[in-house]
Amino acid sequence: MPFNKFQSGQAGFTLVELLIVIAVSSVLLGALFALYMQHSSLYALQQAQVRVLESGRAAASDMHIYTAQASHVVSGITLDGTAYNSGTDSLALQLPSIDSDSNAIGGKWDYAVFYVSGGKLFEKIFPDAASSRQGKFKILSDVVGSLQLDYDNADFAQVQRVRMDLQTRTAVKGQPVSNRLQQNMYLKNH
Amino acid sequence: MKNRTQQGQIIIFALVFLAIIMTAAAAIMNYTTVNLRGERQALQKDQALYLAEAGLDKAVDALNQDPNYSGESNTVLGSGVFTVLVTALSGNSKIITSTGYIPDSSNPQSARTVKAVLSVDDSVIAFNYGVQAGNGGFVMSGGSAVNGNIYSNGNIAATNGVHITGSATAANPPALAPDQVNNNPPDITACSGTNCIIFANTTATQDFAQSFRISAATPLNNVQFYLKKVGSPSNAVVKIVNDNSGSPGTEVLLSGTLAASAVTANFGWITVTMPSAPVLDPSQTYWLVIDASSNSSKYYIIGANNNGYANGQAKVGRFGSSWSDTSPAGLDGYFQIYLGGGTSTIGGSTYVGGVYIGSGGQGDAWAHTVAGASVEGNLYCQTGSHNNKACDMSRGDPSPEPMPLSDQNIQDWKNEAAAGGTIAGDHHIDWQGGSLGPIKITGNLLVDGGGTLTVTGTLWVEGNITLTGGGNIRLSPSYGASSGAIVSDGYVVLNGGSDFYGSGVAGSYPFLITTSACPVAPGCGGYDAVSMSGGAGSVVVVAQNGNVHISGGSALKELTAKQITMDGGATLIYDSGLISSDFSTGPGGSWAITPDSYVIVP
Repeated sequence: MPFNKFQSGQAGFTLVELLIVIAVSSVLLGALFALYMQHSSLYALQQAQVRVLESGRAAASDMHIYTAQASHVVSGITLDGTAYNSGTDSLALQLPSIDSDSNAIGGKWDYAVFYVSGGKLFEKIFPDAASSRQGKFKILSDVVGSLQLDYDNADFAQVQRVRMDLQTRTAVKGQPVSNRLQQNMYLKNH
Repeated sequence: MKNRTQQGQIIIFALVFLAIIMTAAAAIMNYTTVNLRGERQALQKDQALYLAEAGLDKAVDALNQDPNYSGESNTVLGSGVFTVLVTALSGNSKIITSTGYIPDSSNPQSARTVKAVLSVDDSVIAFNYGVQAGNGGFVMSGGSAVNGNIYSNGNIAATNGVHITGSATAANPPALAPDQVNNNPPDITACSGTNCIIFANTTATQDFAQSFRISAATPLNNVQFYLKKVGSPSNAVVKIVNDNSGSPGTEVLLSGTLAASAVTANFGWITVTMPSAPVLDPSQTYWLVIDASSNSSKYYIIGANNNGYANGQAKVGRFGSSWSDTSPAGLDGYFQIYLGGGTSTIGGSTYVGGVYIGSGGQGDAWAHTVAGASVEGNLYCQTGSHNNKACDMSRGDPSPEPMPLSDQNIQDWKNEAAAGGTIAGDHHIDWQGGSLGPIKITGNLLVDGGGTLTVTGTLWVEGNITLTGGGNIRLSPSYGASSGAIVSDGYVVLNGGSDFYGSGVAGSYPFLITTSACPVAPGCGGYDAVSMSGGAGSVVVVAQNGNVHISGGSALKELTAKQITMDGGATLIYDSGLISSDFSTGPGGSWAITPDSYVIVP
């Protein structure tokens, strides 16, 4: 009877099999690596897009809310020792103070200030001592490219509409990611 | 035949590979899902806010259609609903609370609320006081009464048992200040022809006159002349008269005495005060006339200069006769007119009870000086006498309040009336009655013979309005709950039992408005802007430029005038609904968001 090595009980891989496995594994690992790199880029891009979109939307929403409640645009005011002005990239608003039932208090005023500095859009709320409105210091966006504010009257005290043009932008591996948001904001308490 | 039991590891690789892929995919999906959820929530928050604002806008529109609108619940709009709650603050003021929900109010994923106060054009017309007087203040006597609040930009002279059931406030006039001046005279040692005007020396130059126009409707305090005398002339009378084609007229509006003893042989400023503090009309030209007698050796000299005063000129002549230019022509006398000054007073009696202010333990009196008052509420004053309590000096003096109607309000009504056509000349409504409006009448309007004028639209009468002999004015039922305007540029006379009626619906009143400045205006013939005696009036009377005289048991709903006199048992019953001044058209006709009341609830 001829010798049958398969009947000898020994298990193992031939060199060819090993080489094939190594080759296949290499290909698969390379594919995995490429997939990872692509995912990583995609993730970073997606993060950047969300960042510019969300921060722009949040900034626009907050500015809309406070402008709607404002009775006047203030040309300039000093609050807590710092001077704030209204201009092309900054906005100072006077709002009626509110009581604990969210009713306006006559003759009392809160102030909301928005301004750009170092690529960031800041929001500060200065409530009157009698107001139930919460004070606030918030960074609305840290990816501000530009903020352009236009007023429907050269006299800030007569302004009834503020047009906002906000561009947020960042870059991912040299690829720019940006968003532009425009809105008209009306002073309903004017 | 081979019996093979070969084994391989590819499945392991495949599973591992699959696990890595799925993990990466899950990470991306999770990140995307989280951000999508955040964006969706932010979007829903904005949507809920816009729904709430839509509810507020709906409330404004609904109230203008139906003043009884009381709100609504779960009104569907787009992908959500809104609910509106209406809470009345007063007759013309409501708080609107509007909440938007996404997707519904049962299980909202987002909700935002806005609040605002709606009022009926409160900033345009607000008849907040039963009686409101301008700079002329007012005089109440003879048991006259006001059921409501009084506000005066001048004195409230109230004596002999006057009753004011609400509060009484008398604001101070503006501070004393020169208004019209030709002053800074040089040292005049001798007359050279252009530096002085001689009068009272001949018949032809018996009197001196200087025309002027004041700049503000503020009480006139005094006039001053730069005078000297030669010899010992008699006292002269200083008169303020109308202008008659560039010369002094004969309508004496006011007069005071120029005491000869105050004038010396050297030039000096001589002050003449009027018996009352008249309020002149800035749109009219008046003349200061020094009405003297003539004597060739006893006369006056007034310092003068050439065209020193831009708003007038000097003349010499004789009051009631003829006038001529100065020689040379174009001279102006040195003079000064002072307006304002002083403080206001309520009362005036020397016993407690000259005026009763307040009822039910409430009702304040507030003025610099209060005298002879019995006050149920607080007595705010700096000086007081013969009052039932001491002055509370904590408040200072009250400030003047603006009149409720603006010139534009009145012009809007005039435009409305004129749009309906024009009746040239006078119009007479007799016992047969008649209907008018909207219409403009270029002449006078007379309603008598017991006839009733039914007002079907805004009326504008360029002349005078007279209701007598039982003549009545009634608003057409088509006005509903709204009021109607009747505007006159002349004076108004209401007597003989004339009555006023609204449309028949509660809160509807005729508004009788005159722009007349009588009696201190040409053509008044001694009439006040409004003269009302007898009869009951469901009427609001407004004469912001002139005087109103109410007597003989008349009753009004509200009264506003520059100067007011009430006597003879006149009664004024203020209707609180007048704060709403709800007109079907024109000023005060719509609900709107009150400025500084809109709030987005945090």
